[in-house]
Amino acid sequence: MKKPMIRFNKRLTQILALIVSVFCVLNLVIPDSDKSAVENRSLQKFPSLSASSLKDGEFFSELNSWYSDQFLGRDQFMQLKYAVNKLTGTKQINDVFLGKGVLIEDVSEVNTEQKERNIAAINTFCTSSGVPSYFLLAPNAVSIQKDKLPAFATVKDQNQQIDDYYAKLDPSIQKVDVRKTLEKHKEEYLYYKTDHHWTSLAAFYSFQDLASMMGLGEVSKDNYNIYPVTTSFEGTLAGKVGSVLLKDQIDIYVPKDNDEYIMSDLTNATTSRSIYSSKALETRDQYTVFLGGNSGRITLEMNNNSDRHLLLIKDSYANTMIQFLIPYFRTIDIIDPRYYYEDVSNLLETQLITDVLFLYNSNTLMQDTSMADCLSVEAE
Amino acid sequence: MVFNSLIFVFCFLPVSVFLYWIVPGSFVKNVVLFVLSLLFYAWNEPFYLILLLLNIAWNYLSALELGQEEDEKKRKIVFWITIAVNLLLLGAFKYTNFLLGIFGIAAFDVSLPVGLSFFTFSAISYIADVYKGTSPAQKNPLDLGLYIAFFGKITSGPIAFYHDMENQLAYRPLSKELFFSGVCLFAKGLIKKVLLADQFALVFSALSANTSMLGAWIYAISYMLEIYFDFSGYSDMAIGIGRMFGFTMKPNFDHPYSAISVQDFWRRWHISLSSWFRDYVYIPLGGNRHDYVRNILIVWFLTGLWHGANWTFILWGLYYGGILLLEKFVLKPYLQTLPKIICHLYTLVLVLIGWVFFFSPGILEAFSTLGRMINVVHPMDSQVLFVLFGNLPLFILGVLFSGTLYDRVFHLFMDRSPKRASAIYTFLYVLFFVVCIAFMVGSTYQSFLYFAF
Repeated sequence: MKKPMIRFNKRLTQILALIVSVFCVLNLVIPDSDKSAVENRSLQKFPSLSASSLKDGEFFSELNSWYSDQFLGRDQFMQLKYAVNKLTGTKQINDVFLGKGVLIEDVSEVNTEQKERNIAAINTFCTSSGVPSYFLLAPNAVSIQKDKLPAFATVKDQNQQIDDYYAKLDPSIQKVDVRKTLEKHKEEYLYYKTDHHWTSLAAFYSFQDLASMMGLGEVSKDNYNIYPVTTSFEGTLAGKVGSVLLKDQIDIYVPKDNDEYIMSDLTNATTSRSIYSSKALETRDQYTVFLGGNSGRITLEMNNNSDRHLLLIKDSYANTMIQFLIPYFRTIDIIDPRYYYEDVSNLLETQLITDVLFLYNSNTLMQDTSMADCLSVEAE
Repeated sequence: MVFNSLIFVFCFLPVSVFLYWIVPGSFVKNVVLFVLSLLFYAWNEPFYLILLLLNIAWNYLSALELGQEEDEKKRKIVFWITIAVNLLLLGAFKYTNFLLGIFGIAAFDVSLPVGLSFFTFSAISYIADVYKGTSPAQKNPLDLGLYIAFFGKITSGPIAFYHDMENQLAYRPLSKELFFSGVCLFAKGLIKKVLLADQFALVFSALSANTSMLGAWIYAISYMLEIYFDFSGYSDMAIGIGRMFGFTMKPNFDHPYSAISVQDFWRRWHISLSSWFRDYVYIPLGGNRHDYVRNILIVWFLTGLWHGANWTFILWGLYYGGILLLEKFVLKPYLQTLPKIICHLYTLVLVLIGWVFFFSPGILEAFSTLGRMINVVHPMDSQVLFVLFGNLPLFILGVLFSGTLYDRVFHLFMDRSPKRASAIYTFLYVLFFVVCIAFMVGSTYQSFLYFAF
């Protein structure tokens, strides 16, 4: 081998060996973490060794996950990967489009079999409840803000998914189709740039539609004090792709003629005088400022003279909507079927329910696997 | 465990190198390396460790018998029985379900032991070398164990011949120079695998359902680049690891996509496998001295079958057998006189068509992809443009690095101004290595919308 080549190999080896040894030692020395805020999951711990875990190979595969989960600078490396992706013109990472200054979640596949079960359960539940039911199926950024998708991006037709869903719901259920309204405001800040949720503004516009259908009267922005609670929100989509520099602002809309209320989280056994959780602003997932996150059942009791009692069956899109509903109802029972395992129809009587509202975003609803079971516990 | 995993690069490999270099004496070094190799193998599938050890024991004992026996007839019997057991083992795991499928019988649920196709061929190389008298039977079971099971080459080769490795088994001088070149080759292979092959794999899967003509071309081309960077990257890593422990193995790839005939391509693609078939099947069958056509077809049928238990692989092998015969009897004079660029394009297109058979799950699917490649009615759609524009730098790098240009520029630059070249390339390698880590971390990233317990 030629001299310069040997020198080159030597120098490069020294640098690479240094990098590898530093990571090798630090990874073994630095204590393990329990969970990752960015990835929203528990991390693999050092696996326990047993005859059976050794035999079926589980020990070694857990060892691999342990090492990569606990790898030093994991989140920073993910951000480096994002930066390289961005620099080399990548337009999509897994199911997230890297749009023009925004991250946009792709339209999800429909879980057809489960969807039919869910619709049947919803129809049965609503027709037998004897109270007016409403269904608000929120579109996602990918269909409202198509213009922000990267060039040539092809996505499934979410409008068709929503149309099909609405068409299969019982005629007695009132469909709150907010797509036209959101379409009209599509240039505004309707969806977070780094998160899969809609903003309070989008929820507000949708609430205007909902209010007129539910007979709650005219609603205008002047009815609310709008406070920005954070300008450094990095949401779930940022976590998925490791984006850097993109940040969001979260606004809360507090009704001006606000009544006192008590929020009881029956799943986590906590009570509070506010639906906003200031503690959430110190965590990574700042969207949990609304209700403190998703919980199986939350009950709101208002100190007002309304005679209406709402049962809200929902996913996390509804968390932003609740601030608008509070003044109009005496109680609101909020059920998240993903975490609620009791008989929902019992609540109709015990809580003197007068209105039922379903509020979901399309991507979650098309994939949902818990609604049918939650609504038809009674049948078993 | 795969070479491109964090735990291998940052834990298993450095710890192994450290242990190997620190323990005294060749014998202890070999013990350490053999134990590490067994651990590496157990990592994939602990149960099959028994299979590997039985394989080593069987070939060790059979070769001793071959070495001692003087009666030619008995030697022949021992030789064929040994080979038959090796092949039966390979066949049982790899081809049983395929054969059952032909007769419409339901498949067994067995996983293929990692590297079985590779270490079986290594073992056969050993037995054949001892039988032919090229090499004496190995007295030391540890040395033979190392030849078959060394973790650098057990999972994906190269299928190093026994007679090439024989002198390196018992004793290998520690050479820093060799070590340094090994580390650099490993880094190069890792970069090829993680930053090129794995990214082309994403393009390939993104276009699997595309129905346009351009889409079918990009689909096939992305596979062509993926498999090259994947396999040659893995071979670079394997040979690099070998060097870290003092082994010298021959290169396995030599810029196959710069070939100017299909015959030339096969001198450059997976060299250890084609040499194996040449030395242990083609020449013993008679080579080009008698039954040439038959020999070629047998070799290429087996080459195809070796790659997997599916008709598509057999067809792929026979396709190459056919082209090689065609080149030999018809095309040779044209390939020698036509401009190089034409010969190069001719080779690339035929190899590309070959890959379509190779990657398709069935023969019908292969023809349907080939059909789309000439479907001028539906030239392109927005999905192809999306994938193409989102991966332009990848395709440019892929085309540049798969030819000889990169190596030529590198060596020219190194000759002209070694200091500057060395500084620039060191910087680039380190940069790409760090990006590699980022992509390796990225591939283990699983972010959830809702907290996953």
